Amino acid sequence: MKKDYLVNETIEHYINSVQELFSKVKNDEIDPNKICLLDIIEKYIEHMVDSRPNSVDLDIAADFLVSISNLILWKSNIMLPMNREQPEEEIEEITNFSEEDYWAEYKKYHSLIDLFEDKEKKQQAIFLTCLDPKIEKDEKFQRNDFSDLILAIESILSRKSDTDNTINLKKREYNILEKINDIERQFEKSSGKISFQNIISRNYSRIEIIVTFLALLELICQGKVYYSQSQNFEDIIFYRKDDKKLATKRKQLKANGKE
Amino acid sequence: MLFIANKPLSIKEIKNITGKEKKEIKKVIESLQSEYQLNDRPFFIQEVAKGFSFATKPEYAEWIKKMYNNDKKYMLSKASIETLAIIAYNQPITRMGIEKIRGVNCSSLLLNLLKNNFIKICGRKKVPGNPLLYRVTEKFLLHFGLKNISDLPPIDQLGFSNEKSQITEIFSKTGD
Repeated sequence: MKKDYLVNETIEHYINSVQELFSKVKNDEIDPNKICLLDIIEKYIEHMVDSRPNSVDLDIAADFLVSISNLILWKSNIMLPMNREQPEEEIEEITNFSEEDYWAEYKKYHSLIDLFEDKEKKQQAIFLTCLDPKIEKDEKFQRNDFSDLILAIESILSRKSDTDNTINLKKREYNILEKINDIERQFEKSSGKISFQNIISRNYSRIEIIVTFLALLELICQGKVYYSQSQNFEDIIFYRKDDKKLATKRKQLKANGKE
Repeated sequence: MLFIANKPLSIKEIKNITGKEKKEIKKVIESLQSEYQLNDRPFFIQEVAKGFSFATKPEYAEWIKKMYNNDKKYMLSKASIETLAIIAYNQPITRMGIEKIRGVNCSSLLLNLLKNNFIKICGRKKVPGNPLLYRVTEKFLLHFGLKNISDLPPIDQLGFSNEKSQITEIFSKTGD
């Protein structure tokens, strides 16, 4: 492996214009293996340390950093293992050949049309005793093979789709009554108070969420459940009406007892 | 037998019925052919579709066409002939294989050819999707007056390169 080295004169020459150095590397004017990036960076750091901080032009410093970064990237890419993919030129040749081959293939069969037409014309003038139209028709009926079956079912299905207006109904997986019972059970477990997220946020399917929501609406309509929201975007809390009455009664009793 | 048969009779079929040797049958057919030719008969024995059949000479075609009101014979379209040529040279072949060569959809063409018994489904390719495989029928041979599928000129001898093209090789490997 080649060692990095750089002639001092070359550094002196390019130290103030690393951008120019990078462009020369890009244009293959300079072999990147012959540039010691470490030397360039060290000299730059020395220059930065020696010079006063206020006197450093930040734009020039930034340009240097960008250019040296590009050089590092360029050099590190060269050091990577060789890409084993075929060169672009070769690929182009293959694709061109493939296209030509496809055309040649198509032309072969296209040119056969004349040959077949010629044979067809000749045969048109010859009538075989075995090809009596009546016999041919009978033969068609006798030779119902796999292809006839496919054609028959395709034609039946195509007609069927035009006339068939029935819709397949799926059995209902969820119903509102079951969901109402389910919600009431949840109310009992959670002492008459459930948040909307708790009711809905289970691993419910889309249909199940809709049915649950309809069940909630039904309970609200029946006056068994009411809801409240403390603030905008807060969770909606559902209460069972009986429980609230009970709670207020309990509170009243408690209050009376305390008094 | 050749007069009555509703399809060209092969030597093997004649042998099975008559019990005669194949060579003997061939000789009889050849002698009949030469006899009809010598006597300038209006008919001859044509070897077609893997068998033999009596056929009328082309000179009398006009009269026969008039007799049948031109119903008996029909010409195929160029697209149909092209498709049949592809199938005949590459059979068994899938629809995708035909479409790759022709560059256009061939579904309706294939259906028509199937409907008219020029091609038949001969199985399914053991590749993902199990596409149907097509091959030409005896009607194809009859329509073009071919003895056998090998009666077709080798595609390499049609003024093209002698090497089998890459595509044909790919098709023969994949069936597509």
